Amino acid sequence: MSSILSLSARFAARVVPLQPAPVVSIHPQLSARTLVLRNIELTIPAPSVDPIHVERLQPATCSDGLGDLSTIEFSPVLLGAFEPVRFWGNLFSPPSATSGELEGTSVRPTTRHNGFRVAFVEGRPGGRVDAERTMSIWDRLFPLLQPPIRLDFPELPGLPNELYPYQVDGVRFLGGQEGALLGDDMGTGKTVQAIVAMRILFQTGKVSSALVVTPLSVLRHWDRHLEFWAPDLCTSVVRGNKERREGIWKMPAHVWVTTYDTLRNDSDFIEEVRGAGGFDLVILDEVQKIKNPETGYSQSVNELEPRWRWGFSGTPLENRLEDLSSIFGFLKPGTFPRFWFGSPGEARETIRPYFLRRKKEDVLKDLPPKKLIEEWIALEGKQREHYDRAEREGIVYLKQLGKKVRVTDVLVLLIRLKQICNVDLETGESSKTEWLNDFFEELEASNAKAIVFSQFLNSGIHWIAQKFNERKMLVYSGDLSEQERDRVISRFQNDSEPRVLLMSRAGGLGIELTAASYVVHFDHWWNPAVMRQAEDRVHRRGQTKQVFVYDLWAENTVEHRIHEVLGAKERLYGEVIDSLATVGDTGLTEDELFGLFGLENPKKAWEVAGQSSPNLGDGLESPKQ
Amino acid sequence: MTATPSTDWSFGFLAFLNQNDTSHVRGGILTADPGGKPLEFRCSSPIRPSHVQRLLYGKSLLPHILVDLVGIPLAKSLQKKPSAILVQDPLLLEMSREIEVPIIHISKQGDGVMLSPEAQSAVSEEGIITCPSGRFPPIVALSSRSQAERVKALMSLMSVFHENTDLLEPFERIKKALVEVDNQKALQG
Repeated sequence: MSSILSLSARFAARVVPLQPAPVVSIHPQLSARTLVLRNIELTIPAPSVDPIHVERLQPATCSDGLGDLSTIEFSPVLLGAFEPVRFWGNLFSPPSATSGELEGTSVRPTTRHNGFRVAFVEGRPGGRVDAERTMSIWDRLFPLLQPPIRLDFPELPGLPNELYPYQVDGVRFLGGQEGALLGDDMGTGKTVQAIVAMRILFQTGKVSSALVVTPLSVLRHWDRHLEFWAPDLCTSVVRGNKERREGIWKMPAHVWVTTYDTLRNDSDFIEEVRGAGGFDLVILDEVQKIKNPETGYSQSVNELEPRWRWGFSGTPLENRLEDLSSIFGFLKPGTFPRFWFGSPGEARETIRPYFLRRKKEDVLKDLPPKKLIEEWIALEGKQREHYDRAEREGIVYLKQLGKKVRVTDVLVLLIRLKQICNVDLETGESSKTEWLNDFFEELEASNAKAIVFSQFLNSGIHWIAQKFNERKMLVYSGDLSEQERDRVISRFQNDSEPRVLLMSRAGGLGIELTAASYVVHFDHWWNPAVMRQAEDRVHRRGQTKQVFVYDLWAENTVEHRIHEVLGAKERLYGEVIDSLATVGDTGLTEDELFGLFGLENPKKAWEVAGQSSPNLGDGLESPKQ
Repeated sequence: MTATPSTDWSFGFLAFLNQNDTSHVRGGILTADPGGKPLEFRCSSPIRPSHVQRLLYGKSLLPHILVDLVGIPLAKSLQKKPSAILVQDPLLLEMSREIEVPIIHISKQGDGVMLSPEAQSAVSEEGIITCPSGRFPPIVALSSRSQAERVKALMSLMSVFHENTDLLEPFERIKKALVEVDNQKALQG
């Protein structure tokens, strides 16, 4: 006690006397809570109320429109003295093409995009003009926005032409098969069926990329058919030198079309650019090219891993077991085990669900009596080079003649160029002959017969006979005696072999050639009516078979321009020629003849072709009249 | 508006992607000619409401997005106005308060349409569109009462369209295109 007291006394001066217990009162009107203690004020700061900032949702941004999808702008661009190359204003990605007046230029379109053709112009003096094209999101959307192609009705809206019922069946078959082989006879439209089926896959979003692999001879055939039947798909044709091909592989597209050779040569690059996935759909035309699994063609094809795989062939593959095994090794892996010991009949049963073949006679009732098919052939390599040089030099020569130039001079150049379109005799290169090679293979396999017409001898029927000498062909030309001609016709009509008759215009009226069901115009007479007359040797009373007529035209050459001029005349006048107004038998007026080479008619006196044989020099032959 | 007998008319089709899941909504509008061929197409940037926005907007979120944020801007963005804009969600009939062009809701007959009690009084059924050949199913058309007269006049055009192309089909094209847009990430919201 005393210690406590003494402590107290010691601190008495410092200790604050204890106060009564605090009284707390809260003043509700204050935001802060204030505790009022007697003589002590403690303020508890007000809680901060942060407003939660909620951003208002903003309206969406709307994309640029695709504009009026029903129209396409058209702006012709003239490149040099040749036919205009048309650049359609593309709705999705306008081209960044540059162009100008050029001379001595050949324009070779290689890429088409929704009606927009990109031209790669090469080898000109003054440099190259390359047009670039990019594929935007709109290019991907365009096929998706098209009305659907329905297969459950006879009419297929959204197609430029009607399909025959058997073709609708073919499209339905392909659209339902991720691995399929279509083996219809040639001339029945396998390409059309493939393109329409492919278009459906694109429209339904099942594929977004496709590769078509074809023999060189039908590369342009595919390009043109894609342009006609699927203009909404962006197509790239892969050809040319390595640098150019690499550029084309890299360019975005829906469909790439190339040859077996190119695929083999570029397979590493394709894998690098496209990745392991490659393409969603691969179409192999003339699929028998991969019948041997050891070849480079087969190996490069088998490196692709598409989900959809279609093969096409006009040859009756179902009878060749060894071929089927390799072909289905790609189309439907696992169909045939490595060591297949079954019979051909069992093999046919095995592939039945994936194989569709219609012969001409099966679908005859759907086809018109005579079917005209234009085949556009691209000149390549040295043939192209020599053609371009001859045309360039020829035009220079014609221009140098100035006002002295005559129609005969133009005809001389015309004939020379047409001959090179058939074959470059310097090197033996001939794109048309390559086409014939594939055609003859299918002909052989179909047990059919064909007539090949040409107006030329050395660069026409004699060339073909010599080129295919192992195939035994009959030749009918003006230098045969009458007896020899009769023998040729009789053999062709009555004997099972040979299957091919090569004929010059000497095969005139009155000759019956109904044993044939295929006609090929290797080149064209001046007057298309003459060609129709030639066909009528085959397509006439007594003919029991469907007749297919193939017209071979060399693309981007004087043949191409003649085709356009004559075609335009036919559309305008309903008939091709008015002999009073045309130069001799050409079907073309003087102005049109000069116009083929970008020249103006110097208004000199008429000199009708045929009055005297033109001096062509170089041992070239005049066409047989 | 009186239906014209000429072929110079078109319909707009308005569709959406991820409509029910409001985390990401994108719209597209396609105009097509009487044959069903596309004439114009536009799509919107995606609307991505945040979690808080979804909570605070509540039930008003979906109508707000479909009508105010996407539907009306898309309809106004068309270069060439169609004769009518067809929709598949009755909410979109609200667009008629700002869009001059008639807005018509279509659905397959028998499918039934969910309308709120408020909406029922504002909507009128214009009739059934049939396809004479039987290729396509009959379609029921609804519009807001304020546009009823104009829509009635368009019924014959809708019949013409339905003869060639299923009136419900273009919506599928739009949805496929919107999926492709999403995949390509072409437009950032």
